[in-house]
Amino acid sequence: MSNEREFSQFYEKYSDKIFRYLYFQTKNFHLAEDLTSEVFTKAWEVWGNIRHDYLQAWVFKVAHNLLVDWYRKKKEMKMPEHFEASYDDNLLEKIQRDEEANLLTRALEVLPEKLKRVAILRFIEGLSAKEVAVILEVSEVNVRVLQHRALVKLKEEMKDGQE
Amino acid sequence: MDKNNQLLKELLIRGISPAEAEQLAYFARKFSYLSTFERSESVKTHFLEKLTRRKEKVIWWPRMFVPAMAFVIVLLVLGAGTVVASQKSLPGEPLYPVKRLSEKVGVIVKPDFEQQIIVRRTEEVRDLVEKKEEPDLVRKTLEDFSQKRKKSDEVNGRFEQSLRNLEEAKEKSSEDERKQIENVLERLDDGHDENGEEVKGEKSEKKGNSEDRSRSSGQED
Repeated sequence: MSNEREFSQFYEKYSDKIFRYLYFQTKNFHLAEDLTSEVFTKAWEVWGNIRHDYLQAWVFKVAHNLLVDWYRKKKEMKMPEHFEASYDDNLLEKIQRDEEANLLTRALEVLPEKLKRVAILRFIEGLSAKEVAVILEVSEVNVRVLQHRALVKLKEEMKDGQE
Repeated sequence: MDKNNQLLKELLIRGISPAEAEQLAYFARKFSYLSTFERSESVKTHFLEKLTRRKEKVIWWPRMFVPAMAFVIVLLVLGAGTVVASQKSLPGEPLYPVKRLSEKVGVIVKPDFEQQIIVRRTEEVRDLVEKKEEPDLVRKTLEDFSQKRKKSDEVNGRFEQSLRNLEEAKEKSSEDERKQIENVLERLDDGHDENGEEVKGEKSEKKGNSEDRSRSSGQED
């Protein structure tokens, strides 16, 4: 299988996951798309040299590092000039109009950053505790503690919201 | 084990009741709804096309040539090193052909380098004699020198240097080599006479010296 085809499959499989991880953390649709492009541009540049057995954890880690970097520098993403970003504005409208999605994202917003990351990775994207531990560079036990705390808070928040 | 059961198990390990764990797992399942939101195919295709085209142009092309470029650089460095190292080589040594080739190139770049080459040949004769190398090598080098000398009409300070080198070689040479060097020196003197007054004076002086020497030896006899 050619490199390009392999990469296309990888992109098809993970790009929405990465986009959602970035979007639900930043709540900035265009930034999430830009960062997603950046993640996969980096992935493409090293595609021939990376191990393909831990791709999911690897690509989430790249996204996580980029996001942390972005938070730290708080600067605009500068994509290369030839890189015309393309945004799916219909998706933005769809998310904004969806009541269930609004309820869930509002609950997520209440969580502190670390719990929010664990919640997105574990409950939305369905990654294992082990993978989340690798991505966030914490122990697996720590992930279990964080996910428990996140769920307790989410439950409280959603019950409050329903009352 | 499916993801829900795994989560339940992990929550139970935390020491909470099964009912509470089930309730928390229920909330966790609710969030999987957000994973149904996906970007359109057109956005993804647009990105992929841009990216792969960019890599073909910007990344693959130079990478393909990295080994070739590295090879050329290594060759250049080795080549330059060999040329530098060859400059002190003597006839019969492995690097000597490189020295001669570099001299040919040097003459093309800088024509008056020819004079330097003539001196070099005499230095080689001197060094070969000093190292007591094969007389054949000395003879060939002397021939090279004579040929170069014939081709060059220019007379300058370097001629004196050549003479000094050959005189030094003569002093340290064996019988056969001495004769060869003397022959060359004689021819050199004759050829040089035709070129200028200054050298004529030197030759006369030399002849005079040798006459004086023979005269004085006669007197001694």
